[in-house]
Amino acid sequence: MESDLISKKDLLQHTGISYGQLYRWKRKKLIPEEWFVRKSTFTGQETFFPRDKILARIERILGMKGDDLSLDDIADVVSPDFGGVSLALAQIAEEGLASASAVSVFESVHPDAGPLVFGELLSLYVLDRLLAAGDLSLEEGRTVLATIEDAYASFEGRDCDLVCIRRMGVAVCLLVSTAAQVGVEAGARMVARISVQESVEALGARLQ
Amino acid sequence: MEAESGVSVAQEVATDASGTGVGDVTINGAGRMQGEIDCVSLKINGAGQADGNVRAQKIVVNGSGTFGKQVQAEEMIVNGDSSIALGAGIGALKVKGRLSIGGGLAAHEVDVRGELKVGGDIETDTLTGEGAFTAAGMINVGVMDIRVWGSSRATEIGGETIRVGAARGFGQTIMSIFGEKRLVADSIEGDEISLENTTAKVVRGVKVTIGMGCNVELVEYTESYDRAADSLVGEARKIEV
Repeated sequence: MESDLISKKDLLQHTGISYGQLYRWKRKKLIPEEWFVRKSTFTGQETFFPRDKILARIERILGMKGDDLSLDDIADVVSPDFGGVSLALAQIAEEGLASASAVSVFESVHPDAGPLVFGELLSLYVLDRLLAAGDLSLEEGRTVLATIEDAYASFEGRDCDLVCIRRMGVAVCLLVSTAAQVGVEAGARMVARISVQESVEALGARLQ
Repeated sequence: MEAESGVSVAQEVATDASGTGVGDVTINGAGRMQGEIDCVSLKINGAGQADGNVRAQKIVVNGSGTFGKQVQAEEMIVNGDSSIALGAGIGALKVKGRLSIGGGLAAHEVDVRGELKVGGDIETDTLTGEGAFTAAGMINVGVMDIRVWGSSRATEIGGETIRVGAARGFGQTIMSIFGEKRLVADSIEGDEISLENTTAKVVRGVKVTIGMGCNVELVEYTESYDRAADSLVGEARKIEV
């Protein structure tokens, strides 16, 4: 876990951004609060970030600033508002947002599904990514959908990761906060851990 | 909707179909509002209490205002004393007197002459004024320019420009009833930092000036560093970028 984190000081040195920029981006919600992980070190409290996420995000912000976008425009991209989105399953397949196998898993869980709103699209999209990576069987995909549908709302839009653990052939999925460390017993195996926020952004980009 | 002195005001203020507030609410004297308030302007002259969440374009408190839940406003002016039990989201906040907030404060502009006490974080583009400033959490600010006239503290302060000055002149004798005129923080990080009468464990910035009356354990700077003779600095390090 430690190696997955980067200290604030190292981050600034690595990226060349200033404290002012970092705090401004946090105020503008370009960097989620949950990514600021406070830890006690021998020099007192220090702030760390999930390394891959923060580096990707800063690269993205800097890249978009080059396109003359305002910080508010960037905020719309990284935490988009999809209140009004709804798509029929047929449309999803047509636009290639999810594979046929992911759609069929979704249909088997929701046989009477109408047009999908963003939350459902998100669960389908995450499922599709996991299936595409070969991490999960179709049957296990059903638990992915159930997990996101049941638990995602309780995160209230905060960043979280979907974790799948398999033990003796039985898969269990959970949503955990992004900085959470997950340990499992020797007989169990973490088969996948993916960022839900990344899917939100990727899906957002596809929908716009 | 208006209440004359001593009369309590009604149950709930109507909103139009779109959910945006209509009408003005004024309390002259003492009044209590129950339920959610959603209105264009809310004015309290005297003592007013709102039990539910309040949303308004403009809130003016002349006297005392007690808000039992959250407050959301484009503009809020407090002349006197107000408290907000939960969080507040306010575009432009002006306090002459005292405002205490139980949760966090998110704003664009905050100007305080008196005291601001926040139970959570303060996030604002600008924080100016003089008096006592307290945030139990962090202050995240674009430009902070304050003069400290009372005991002030925050766990962390982070921003672009951070200027903390000591009280000067006649006023400070009067205001000294507030207690020690000092800002205490664990860490202060920004691009341009200039401090007086501040105690901090660590100050990190591009350009750092430690003025009179400061006590800082560690300064880390990348460009320039100045220190007044009557300040204490444990260690100052230049960080190469």
